Amino acid sequence: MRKVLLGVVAVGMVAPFLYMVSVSFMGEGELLRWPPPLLPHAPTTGNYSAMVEVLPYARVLLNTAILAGCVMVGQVLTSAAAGYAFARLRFPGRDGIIAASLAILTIPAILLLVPRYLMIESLGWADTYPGLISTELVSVWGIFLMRQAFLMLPREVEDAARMDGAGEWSLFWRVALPMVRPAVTALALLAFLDQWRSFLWPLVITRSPRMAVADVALAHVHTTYAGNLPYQMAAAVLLTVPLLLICLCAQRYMLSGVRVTGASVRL
Amino acid sequence: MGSVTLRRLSKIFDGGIQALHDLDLDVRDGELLVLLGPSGSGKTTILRCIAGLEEPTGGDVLIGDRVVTRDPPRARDVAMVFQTPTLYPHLSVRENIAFPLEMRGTADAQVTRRVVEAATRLGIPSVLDRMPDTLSEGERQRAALARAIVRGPQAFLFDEPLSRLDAKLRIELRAELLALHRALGATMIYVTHDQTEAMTMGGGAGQRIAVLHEGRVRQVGTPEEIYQRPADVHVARFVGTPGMNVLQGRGRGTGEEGPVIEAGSLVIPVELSTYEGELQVGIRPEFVGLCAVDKGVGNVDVLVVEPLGSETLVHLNTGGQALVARLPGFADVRVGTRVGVKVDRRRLYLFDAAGVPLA
Repeated sequence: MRKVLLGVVAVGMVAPFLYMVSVSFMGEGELLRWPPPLLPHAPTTGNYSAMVEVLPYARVLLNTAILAGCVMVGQVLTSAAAGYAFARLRFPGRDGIIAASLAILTIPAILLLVPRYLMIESLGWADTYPGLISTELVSVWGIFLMRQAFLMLPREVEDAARMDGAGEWSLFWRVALPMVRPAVTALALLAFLDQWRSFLWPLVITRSPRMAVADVALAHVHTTYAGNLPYQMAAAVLLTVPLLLICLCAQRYMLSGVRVTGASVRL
Repeated sequence: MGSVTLRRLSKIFDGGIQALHDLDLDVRDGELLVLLGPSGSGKTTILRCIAGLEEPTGGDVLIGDRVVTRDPPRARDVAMVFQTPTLYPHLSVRENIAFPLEMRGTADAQVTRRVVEAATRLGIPSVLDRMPDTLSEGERQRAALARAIVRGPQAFLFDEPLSRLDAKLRIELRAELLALHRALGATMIYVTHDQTEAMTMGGGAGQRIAVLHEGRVRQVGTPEEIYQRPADVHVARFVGTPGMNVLQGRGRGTGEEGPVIEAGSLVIPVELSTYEGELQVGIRPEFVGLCAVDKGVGNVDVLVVEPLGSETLVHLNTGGQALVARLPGFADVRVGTRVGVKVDRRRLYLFDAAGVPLA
């Protein structure tokens, strides 16, 4: 019964993807028929060749990879360092700062959009990589995830490392961080995937087509070719496939990381 | 190697719990001192204060002749082995053992040589390239020991390192630790709550036992001293398997039978001249015998009988107080029956109401 239910849910999740691929191989008029066909009558790769010409595909992929990659590295470093400090170091106001940081999560991101834009604009970073990336480098959620992971490390290992002569930095870098690798991997993947699908902030802060990232480029295709669904689907496939491959390769790490850190939530 | 000295060491934890009370302790250079005490007696707190993992509230810790009370652990040059073998799970055994040397910037060639030496001494050279999660519990603790000895610290601290091992392995590793102590001539402080282990570890030349109770050192001495001449009622109760019977009683000097001590349902004739008033009387279980009703110093009820093969432990109720008798072989005693008790009067220990021995 459980398997049947899971099967139904899985089909529900996968079907739109498959239909996207199917439509991307259809001719322009094919979808106008009723009922709409599930599979292309005469499969064509024409939509793809058209889209590769229209989209600055390599450039869009590069921009998206730079954004997602830099944010991933940045979030892992900042979250790990801050998470370790919140979990293991003693300093005045520590718990207050954690609570305040968590409270930030309750503010809708859209409220911060304009202040962020004004700040980046005043720095002269609009429509540049620093502008696109800098405000995404710290993630409160990531800090919390890493804090939980560090809290779960046995105290005795930390004590043993101190006895072995490790200072605070060695303790963090050589002992604690490698021990929370599942959480680091999960955070890295989730940050990467999140940024790959990022739309609103890149839409606001970038202007020129050479700075477009995947979802923004896709939106342009959508408005430009509003009536041509096969074109839109071909563009969507082109920009989704890299993400899909990463997901498939890394899902094991994502699950184990979330499982490890989600097992115990303390504040 | 160096001596370890504690001067008026006290530790009060958050919440006001006082774990150590103005504690003085001298561990001589090259000595193996066993810290013995029940749970919560402050043994581990002492070790952690010596190690620098815990900051004492008052008093001083000296290693060699250097005061290290406020120094971080890495500046103290002591090694510690924990109850749970704490290997770094992401490093191989070789990397684990090398870790303290790397932290001190030891040259690579020397690291390689010393790691192999330490592993060979502990009998684990064949597992050097394995990961900790593939090792047995014994191998893990051996690797942790190798990591402790590899840098030749001034003193070793052992926090119940064998308590998680099975009995056979525990005996084996205990012997190895003693051999290690002899070979290295190192200052070692060994914490345990198991007094059989304490007696074994503290029984050799240059080895002593310190008995702790509620954050205070009650007695420091050889196993024989603490067994035969306990410094107070806590030591008497704790040392021995089972510990000494201590009955609350009252001395009476003018009875028909002459001077006696009344404790529970027992009336024990004594030869002391000063014993009037409240006191506590201690009798080791091996000096408690059973006899027919009304033939001994009092009658008791048999509560539990534990036949252990070479001996039988009989738990008795004497007027609401517990008394244990250790009888040789399989004793013919039935639970629920009433029997008489004999005690060896020359083997009585008398303590005042506060637990201090009466002269």
